[in-house]
Amino acid sequence: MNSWTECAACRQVVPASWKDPSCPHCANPIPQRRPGSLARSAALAIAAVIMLVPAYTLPVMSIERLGRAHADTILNGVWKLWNQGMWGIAIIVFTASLLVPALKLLGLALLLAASRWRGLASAELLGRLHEVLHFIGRWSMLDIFLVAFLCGIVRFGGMASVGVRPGAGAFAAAVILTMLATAAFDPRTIRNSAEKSHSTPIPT
Amino acid sequence: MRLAMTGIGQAKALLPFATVSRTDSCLALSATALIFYVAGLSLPLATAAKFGEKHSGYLLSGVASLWESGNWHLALLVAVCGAAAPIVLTSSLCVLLLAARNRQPRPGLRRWLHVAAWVEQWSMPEVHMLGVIVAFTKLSALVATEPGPGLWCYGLAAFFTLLSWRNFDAAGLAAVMFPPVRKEAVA
Repeated sequence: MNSWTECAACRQVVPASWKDPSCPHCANPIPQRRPGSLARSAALAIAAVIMLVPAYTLPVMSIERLGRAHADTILNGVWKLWNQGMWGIAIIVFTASLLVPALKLLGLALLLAASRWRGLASAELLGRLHEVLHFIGRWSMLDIFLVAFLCGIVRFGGMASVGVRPGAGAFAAAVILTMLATAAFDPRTIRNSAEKSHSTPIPT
Repeated sequence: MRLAMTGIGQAKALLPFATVSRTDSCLALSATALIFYVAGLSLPLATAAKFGEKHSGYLLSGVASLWESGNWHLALLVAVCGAAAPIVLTSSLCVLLLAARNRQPRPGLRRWLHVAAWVEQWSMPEVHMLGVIVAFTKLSALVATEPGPGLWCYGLAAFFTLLSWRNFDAAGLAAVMFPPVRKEAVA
C-alpha cells in the first residue's frame, strides 16, 4: 500500500518512504513520526482543561464607573449580555468562549482515544474531526481580543475604565495550550490505528 | 510531476497560463491587504466619548494598555496574532508571488514559503475583527462610541488576507519555482 505525506509549507505530496528529513521541493523539514505524539498531545490537553477552571471561575475583566468597580467572569458577561437583550452578541461570545473550547477538548479526547483504542470511529471521520479542530481553535481568542480592545479605548480615569483580571490570562493560556495540543497530535496515528484494525486476523 | 522535475531555467517556459492568472489575482489581494493593514494600524479604530472627554482607540492601543498594566504576555499575544502575524503573512505572499510573476525562482525564496506556512496558524485578523465588533456592542452601554476609518481598513485587510491565502496555490508555486533538490533520498 502506497502512503504519502504532505509538506506543511509547499503542500507538495511526498512519499512516506522519503528518507530525507526535508521536503525535496522547498527544503522545509518534514515532520518524522514522533513516538511521543499522543502523550504530548494528551499532556497539553490536560493542562488546557486545568487552565480552563480558573479561566471560567475567575473574573476576566473589570469595569470601573464613577469610582465603583465590578468584575465579570466569562459566564457572567454572557448572562449580562443576554439580559440586556443583546442575544446575538451573547450567543457569539458563548460559542467562542465556552462552546468552542469545550467541543475542541472533547474532540481532541475522541481523537486521542481512537488513536489509542482502534475501532472507536472510522479513519475518515477522525481525519475530518482533526481538520475541524484545527480550524475552530483560533475563534476562542475572541474574548482576549475583546478585552484588549476595551482596555485600549475605555480610559477615562475614575469616570470609566476597563481593566484585565487574572481570568483573562488563564483563558489565553487554555486557548494556546489547546492549539498546541492539536498541533502536537500527529494525524498519521489515525491511519496507523486504521491499518492495525484492518490487519486484525478474522477468526475462523 | 513532470513540471516539478524540470530545471529552474525550463520553469520559465513551463509556467502555465492558469498559474500566471492565479498568481496575479493572489498578488493583487495580498498587496491590497498589506496596504489596508498599514492604514488600519495608523488610523483610529474607534472614538469613545464620556463626560465631554474623547479618546481615539488604535489597533495597538489595547496592546500598549495591557503592557502598561503588567499583562505583557497578553499584550504580546494580541500584538502577534492581531497585527504582526497577518502583516508577515501578507508580506511573505507578496514576495513569493512577485518572484513567481517575474519568473525569478531563487533558492532564498524557500525561506519565505516556510515563514508563510508557519505564521498562518497564528494569524487571526478575522477573529480580532469579530472581537472588536462585539466590544463595540458592549461599549454602547458604557460610553458613546463612533467607528473610525481604521476599523474599516482593518476589516478589509482581514477579508483580503483570507481571500489571498485561500487563493494561494503553494503546491503549484513550489512545483514550478522549486524543482526537487534531492531525488536519491527515496528509499
